Amino acid sequence: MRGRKQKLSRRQLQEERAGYLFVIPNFIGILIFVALPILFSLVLGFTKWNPMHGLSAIEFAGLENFGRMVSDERLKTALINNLIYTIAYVPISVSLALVIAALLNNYVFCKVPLRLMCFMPYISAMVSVAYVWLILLNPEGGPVNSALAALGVKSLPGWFTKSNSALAGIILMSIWHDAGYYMILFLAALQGLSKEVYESARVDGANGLQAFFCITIPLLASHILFVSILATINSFKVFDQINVLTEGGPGYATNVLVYCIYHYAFREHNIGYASAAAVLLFVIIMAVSAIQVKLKEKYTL
Amino acid sequence: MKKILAITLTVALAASTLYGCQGGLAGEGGQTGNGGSNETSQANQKAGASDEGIEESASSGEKTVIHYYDWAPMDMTIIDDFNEANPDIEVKYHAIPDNGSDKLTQLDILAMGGGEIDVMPGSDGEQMLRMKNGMYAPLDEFIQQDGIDMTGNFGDILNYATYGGVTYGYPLRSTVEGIWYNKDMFDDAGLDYPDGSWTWDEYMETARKLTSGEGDAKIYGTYTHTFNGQWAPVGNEVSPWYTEDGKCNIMADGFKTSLERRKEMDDLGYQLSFSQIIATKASQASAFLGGKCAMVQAGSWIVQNIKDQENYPHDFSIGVAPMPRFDETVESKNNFSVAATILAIPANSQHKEEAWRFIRYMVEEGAARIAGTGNYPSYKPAYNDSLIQNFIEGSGLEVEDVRVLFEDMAAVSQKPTGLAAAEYQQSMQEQTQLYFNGEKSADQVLAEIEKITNEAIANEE
Repeated sequence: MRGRKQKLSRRQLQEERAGYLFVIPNFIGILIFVALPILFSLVLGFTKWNPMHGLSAIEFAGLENFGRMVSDERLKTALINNLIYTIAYVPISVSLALVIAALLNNYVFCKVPLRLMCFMPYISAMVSVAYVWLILLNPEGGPVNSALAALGVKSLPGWFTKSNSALAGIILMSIWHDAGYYMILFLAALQGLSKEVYESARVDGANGLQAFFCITIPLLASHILFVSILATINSFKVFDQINVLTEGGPGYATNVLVYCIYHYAFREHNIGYASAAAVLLFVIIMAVSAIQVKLKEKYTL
Repeated sequence: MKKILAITLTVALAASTLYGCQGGLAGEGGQTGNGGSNETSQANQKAGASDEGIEESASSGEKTVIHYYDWAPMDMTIIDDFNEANPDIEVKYHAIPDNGSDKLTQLDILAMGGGEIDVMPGSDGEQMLRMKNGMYAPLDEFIQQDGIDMTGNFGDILNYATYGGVTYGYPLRSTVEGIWYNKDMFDDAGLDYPDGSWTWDEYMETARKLTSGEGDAKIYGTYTHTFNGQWAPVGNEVSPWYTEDGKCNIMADGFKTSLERRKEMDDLGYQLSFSQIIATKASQASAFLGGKCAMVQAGSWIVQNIKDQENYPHDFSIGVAPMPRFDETVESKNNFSVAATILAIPANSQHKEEAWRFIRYMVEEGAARIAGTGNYPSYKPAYNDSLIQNFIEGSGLEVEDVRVLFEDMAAVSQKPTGLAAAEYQQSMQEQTQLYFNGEKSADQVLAEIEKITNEAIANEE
């Protein structure tokens, strides 16, 4: 290292310094707003703290917070709900986005307005979207249940008013809201694929479906993985719609991790325990991301 | 190496988005307090909280600035007059939006972060958790020093200002909740206007008679909102919230019966069902003033909406009656469900003495003008006809219509305010939903509330 440095000319040194100067603001920003809070909440996870009494009131509590987690119904339900949410939300929204993107990239008349329409939900505020869905999913006389009734469905779902359907309602709404965004990401990738591959496939007699499964999907594999990671992270982030629509209810039916953390921190003022739950969330996301990155190495071209 | 870098970056991205999400808590919030065990040491807080502010007070000619945050409509002349009468203090008023319990979270963060806040309101029973956690400074010293007769001033709502025997708040606005009724609909149905002597059976019978129509044109006999414990006050007439040995008393007959009656009225179609209120985000004011129901269980705050012809246009006359009696055995006094918003001083305020002077002025001298904003002032000595006139000014109500709200009454409440109130309230909210939507039986949910609350009480003791 030292040897190399000595060889640098004065000008190179200056350039190097300039490079560091460019990086520093961002580095400091990340340090203050991302790295430090993460570390701080990691530490807080092992403490009891009433923030009303300042930093000096932080008491070390060992593993007490994590011990409480084991028998905490609210947190357990939140974990399970989050898992269900992720398992349903990620594959459905990503594959839906992919299909729409593939269709809108090729065959459709009026491409641009259609693309815009698909993207619209994403740029609408979640809170207002939530209210619209509340009306759509009104169990008595709402359009969705009226349509289901007209189709002959006997036991209509209670949506946000019942434990067995509230989470499904939230998932549906989130997919509708976010799929357009993933679609745009896929569209951008699709534009980059060369036409020749498709043309030669057509010459070989492949139909649209075959081209989609044998060319589009393999070529987009890394993008699909990237979007899946994004969607997974989003699925752990879900909060707004729950806070607006159900407040985690009925019972604990739509209680998810972030809402749980919010509850502990701002409804119970139990910062230590909330931080411990945040650490748990951190570990989960880290594990999921690690798996996905591994997969990416294995399967991308 | 690359792998680790990739993982770290992904995680950092995830974490930053999550933190971003926590920072911007927008939208409407949850209903009430607390669900688990919060074991902060109370002794610590009480010891540390009271002394700081007093030493620093009014030392020199410089003005002490008091920051007062509130969400209710404000008559600024109270603040201006106080500033004029107290040259050594300047009160700065900051309005915050009135959005569910997020407004309290906003104040919490200000107070926790040691922000500039010296006077803050606490309401909806959610102040109990904040008292327990030592967010507010104890006021007993000030109260003794000034020789204030708290019971004489505030009567039955004082339990919303104290926790564990310590007074943390000076009551500012009360909610006095009874049954508001549409006089025109009563006249059309040929029914007498109700008074404090009516029983629950009579109330239900009245609701039945007033229910008419089908589908969109349906007019319900009455309306009971989904607020936590709206079903409970009539039960509280015969059953206290705690047993004699200080345990949760939710399994008592009064509460079980009133829980079941709320659902019965839902099922009979006399009122919009609990689930439908959730599914349509209905509100008391829009349902009642929109002519969708003949009666509504609502607090005195509805006077603000009655005054607001622009957003709640209506052309019928309105009266208010006490809550019905649980049954014939309950004495025929006027039963109202009451609660209070207190003014409190954050424990780490630097100007407690000055803040206290302002709080007294706001509550006592400001009472008539608070009434003018459509809020029910808590300060009893100020009650008179002209205050009542202020209270209803522009609402189309007559003094005689609402006088009953300002007379002697038997106070009940829709929420517990004693030990482990936060857990008690939270479990009530979460559990009773599951009864009202038909997923669990009354016994199941009440037993669950009892279990959660008693655990929390044990933790606190």
